[in-house]
Amino acid sequence: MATQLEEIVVVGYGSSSRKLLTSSISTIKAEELAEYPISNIDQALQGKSTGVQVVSNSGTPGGGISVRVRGISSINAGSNPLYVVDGIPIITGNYGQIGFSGQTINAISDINPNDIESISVLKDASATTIYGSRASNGVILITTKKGVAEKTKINFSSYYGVQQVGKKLDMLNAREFMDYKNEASIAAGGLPVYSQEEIDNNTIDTDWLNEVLGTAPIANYELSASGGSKATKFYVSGNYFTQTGTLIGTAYERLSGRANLDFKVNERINMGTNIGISYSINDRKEGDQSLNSPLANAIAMPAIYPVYNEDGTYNDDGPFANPVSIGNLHTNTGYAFRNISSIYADIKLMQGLTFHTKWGADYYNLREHTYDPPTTRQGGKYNGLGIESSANVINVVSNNIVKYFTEINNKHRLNALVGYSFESYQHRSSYLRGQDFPNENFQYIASAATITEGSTSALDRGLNSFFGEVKYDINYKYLFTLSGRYDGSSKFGENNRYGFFPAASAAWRISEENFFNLDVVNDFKLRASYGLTGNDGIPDFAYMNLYSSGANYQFNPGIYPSQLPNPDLKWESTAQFDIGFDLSMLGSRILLTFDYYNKQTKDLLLYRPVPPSSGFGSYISNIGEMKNNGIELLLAAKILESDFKWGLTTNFSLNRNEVTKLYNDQPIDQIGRGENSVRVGYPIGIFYNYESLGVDPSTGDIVFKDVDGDGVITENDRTIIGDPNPDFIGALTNNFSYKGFMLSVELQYTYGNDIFNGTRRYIESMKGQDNQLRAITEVRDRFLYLPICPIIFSRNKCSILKTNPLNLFRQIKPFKRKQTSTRHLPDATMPCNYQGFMAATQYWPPSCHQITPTQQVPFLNIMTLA
Amino acid sequence: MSSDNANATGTILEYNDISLNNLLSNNTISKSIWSACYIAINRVNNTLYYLPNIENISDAEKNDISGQLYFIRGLAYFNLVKYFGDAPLKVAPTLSTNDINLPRKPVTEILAQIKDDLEFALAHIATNVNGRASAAAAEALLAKIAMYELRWADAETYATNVIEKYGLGLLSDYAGLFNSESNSESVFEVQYNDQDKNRMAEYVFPTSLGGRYEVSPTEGLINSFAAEDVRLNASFDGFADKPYCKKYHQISSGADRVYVIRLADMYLLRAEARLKQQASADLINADINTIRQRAQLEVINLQDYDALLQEIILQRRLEFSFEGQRWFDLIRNNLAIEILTTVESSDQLLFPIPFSEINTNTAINPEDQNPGY
Repeated sequence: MATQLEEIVVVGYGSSSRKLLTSSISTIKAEELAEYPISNIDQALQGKSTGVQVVSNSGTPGGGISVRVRGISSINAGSNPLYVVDGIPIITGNYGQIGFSGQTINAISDINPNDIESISVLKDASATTIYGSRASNGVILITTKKGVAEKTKINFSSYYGVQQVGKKLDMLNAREFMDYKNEASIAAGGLPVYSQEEIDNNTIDTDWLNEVLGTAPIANYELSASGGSKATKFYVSGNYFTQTGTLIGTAYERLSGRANLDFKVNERINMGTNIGISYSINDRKEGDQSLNSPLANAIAMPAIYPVYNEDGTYNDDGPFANPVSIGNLHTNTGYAFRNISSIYADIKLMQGLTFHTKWGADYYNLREHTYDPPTTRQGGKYNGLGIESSANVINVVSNNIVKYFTEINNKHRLNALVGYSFESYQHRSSYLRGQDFPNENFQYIASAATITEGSTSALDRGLNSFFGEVKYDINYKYLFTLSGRYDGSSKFGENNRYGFFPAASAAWRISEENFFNLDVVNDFKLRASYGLTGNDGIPDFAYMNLYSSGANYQFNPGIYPSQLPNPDLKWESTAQFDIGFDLSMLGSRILLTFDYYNKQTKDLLLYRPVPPSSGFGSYISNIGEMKNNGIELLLAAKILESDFKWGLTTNFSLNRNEVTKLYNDQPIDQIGRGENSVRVGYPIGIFYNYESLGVDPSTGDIVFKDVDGDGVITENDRTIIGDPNPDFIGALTNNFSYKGFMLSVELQYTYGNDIFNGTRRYIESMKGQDNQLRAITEVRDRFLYLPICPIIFSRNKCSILKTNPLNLFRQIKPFKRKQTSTRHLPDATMPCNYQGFMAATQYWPPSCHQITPTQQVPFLNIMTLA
Repeated sequence: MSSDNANATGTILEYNDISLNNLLSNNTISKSIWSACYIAINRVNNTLYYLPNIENISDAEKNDISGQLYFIRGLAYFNLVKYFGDAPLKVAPTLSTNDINLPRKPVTEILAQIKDDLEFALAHIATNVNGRASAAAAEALLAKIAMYELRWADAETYATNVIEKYGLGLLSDYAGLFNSESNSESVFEVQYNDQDKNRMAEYVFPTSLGGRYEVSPTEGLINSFAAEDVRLNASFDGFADKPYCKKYHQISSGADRVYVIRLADMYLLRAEARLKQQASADLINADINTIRQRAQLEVINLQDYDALLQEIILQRRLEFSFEGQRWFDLIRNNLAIEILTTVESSDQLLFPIPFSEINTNTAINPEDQNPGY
């Protein structure tokens, strides 16, 4: 169960028992993580915690994932939470330099989830403020397993499963495609493209999706040992995880090891170390917006082209590059080495006073290698194309804390800490692109005759922080917490180099009062908190007056002024109010947690335009505002507690987002292919476009709503046609156990989010060379085009539509679709709830199952050696 | 494109608006002209600002460099006033967001500034390399400004100096101007290579040759060439189907140079300046014939000033087609409304101040916009 009264909860720079918490924190325990085979931390968060939305940006194993705690609270500064592993804030995000449209690399996929003892999700200001300028998007504290003073336990576990795609797009087969093309040509006044004889004699009918999607194994092997004496405790583990993607040529492999050691030097001093290393290999393919993507090409490629020529070589006669040839011949691999390690010492200075110091480093090295041989279409264009890139990142962290505890008359308790921390971050990267390779035996840049691009970059950053916290309670009944952090960052402008982030919270355990005598209730606590946090996700050097190279004059190198300074530049800041209660009933058999929160974010980073006569276009400035508010509900019940046990956990979260201020309140429009928009008065990322009223049967064209009623369709007729933010999200988990056998069934849902289905722009466009969805053939009036479109576009006002309205009509066709998702044991990876702002702008196939594997993972063996 | 030499025939719709002289203030092409000038001005101002602090170069070298910078800035401002009229005048670098709101200043004030700058440049530039600003380039620009200000005698003097003092000479073969070798007719040009490339050829070439055919010659232009005029075949091709300009032809490398001022310009400017001063027709005919003879046209001897002016304007049209002169030649001679079918009002002779400037610059209000926009 997620909540237990006496449970020890890891909080910022310490821990606390749950009953004495005054803030809103969700926790996930190792036992819960063990219920499902998961490959990385983000999956562990999904459905397990209220207020947390996990969005898979791609179905690629090891690929990028977005995590949102209590909604989106930034436009340009990032919305991912801060991750802290064993007290060390870690590097997250994508360091890949070979982006390939959405196929990003996920820097936290390197941590083995089986090493995790607990995860705390810090949500309200009282919990997060101690992380100051990085806390606005929530903080996720990950604690790895430690040894305990008992007999050594050795544990081996493994699982093996296979994944396959649950549902595929139903595309036209060869004959249907030929009929459709003929009809199109005749409708346009031309001759049939294919003669009846060609249609009758055709023997080629390739199911391209079948060719690139397959059954893929997933396996995990894990060996760990833990134990210790009073003086020395240890936990060591080794893990090998391998997952093949259901899409041709994709895979993820991870080898990791961990050693957590704790020593008691004497009565006063404890020391220890946490060492975690991993190496992963990530085979990727170009993403879905690329013309070199196996999946997108397999969807778009008509069935009339064969995979292979008669001589066994790949056939590349089709309009798009042969997806099977890309899948098999194109190399795009990321190799990541990661080491997150720390050492610590706890020194008891005197009664109640301890000094804690921890030094750690997160080292991340990513090397990427791509190669397209001349036998692929893309490689052929460049006579072999190769890219080598590397990124080296190191973040050194030092935490130094003095803690004080005192108890007066068994009544008043005071817990206080003050600390100093610094972080030093370095990022170095290089990138080389070459073409003209001798043959496919030479795949590295050294063999490229022409180097077309080469670059390097260096970035240093630092953070200097002071923080403190005071907790005070009276008789465990009235609880108070004050906390704060003073952060100085090299990212901030000189006028705002340091920021102060305070918070206060209080809780009242009503059930401790004498007047409270409801027997069914064993604990009832009211909580409230308010505080300030920041988001420091602003670009480095953004406040500075910058010069850039590239202004060559007469072929001599030259530099030019490229950025206006903004010495006032600072973090985005969020003020959050939270009120809630924790209720425990029937001897803790029923636990209920409720929170309401209201987050007001201001100083959002936006690009502020300047007069072009200054020689610049814009500069970055703290301008925008938005708010999020919502409720979270968690209910856990032990329904049966005999030999046969049945536990039920359900959580429910609802968030409402509204953008309240932009620069001059000018909307930010046409973001991505989904044409998301950021507008004052609306949730972030709404779909703002022309509203389709359906197809005009007399023309076959889509008719758009004339919103302003002026008789013509101009850009003023765009309107809100959808919202990618869910109405609510949640999960329902049932755990059954009988004498050591366990079954867990989980259902997750998101409701009310509209999804932009970019694929349908093409596969229902009935134009171009793309294959079409079979369902489209049911549109019987599909080719009754008139030469002149009935709706007249006004010149000068609507440039996106001016070129050829007839063609674009079918392209600008946003679709609304509600989707919920489910997952059942044994279902190993992400279900398809890629709702949310970022994901909504991706180019998704209509069925998420296309690239997100829906697995069938039977457990083969799990054994424990004692 | 604003004139009758070129049409917009590609996919960039805002070119079409320029071709029709029907601009809106949010036209991104005219905005990019405005921005490009001010980006250049800001870069010049930055360099001038830091130049005095640079050690180990002599004062003479500093003056040479300053002169070149003044020329670039002068050229940018001259383009600004020709396209837009009154404009913000900025002679210091933009170093912060405090000094970014400047009002429009009268054309006369801007010209006074750049004339001073160019006189300095004329006196101090020692460098004489194709592609860099030279003293000849400064003097040629002074000639062009004098024409713009109707100071005919000054224009004549400057033009004569450019023709005589700097060892420049017309190339005997017109077509040779557009090959890749540098030549002594070039007074100021912008050079490109395959790393620092332009897209001129790509924009004028037909799609069958890998171009975009955004801008193509008008029928009127093609028909204005006499049959024996070598400039026709040196400048254009594809007459049967889609005529296109081939003065820019290095479509793969993008290395075609772009002329800003050629010596031929000075001959025709001097003829025009002398004509306005009612100088002897023989002198005027001589300059015109210098250009005609190079084009393999017969020598003329016109005595009527109107006919001479028409001949000068025609020769300028043919000589400098697709080199960005025709529109300003017509405006300078008050002929734009008469000759161009797309220009009906004098309001159309200036481009609009870009919307983004008016929208962001607190010192320029909507009512400060050029009339008609």
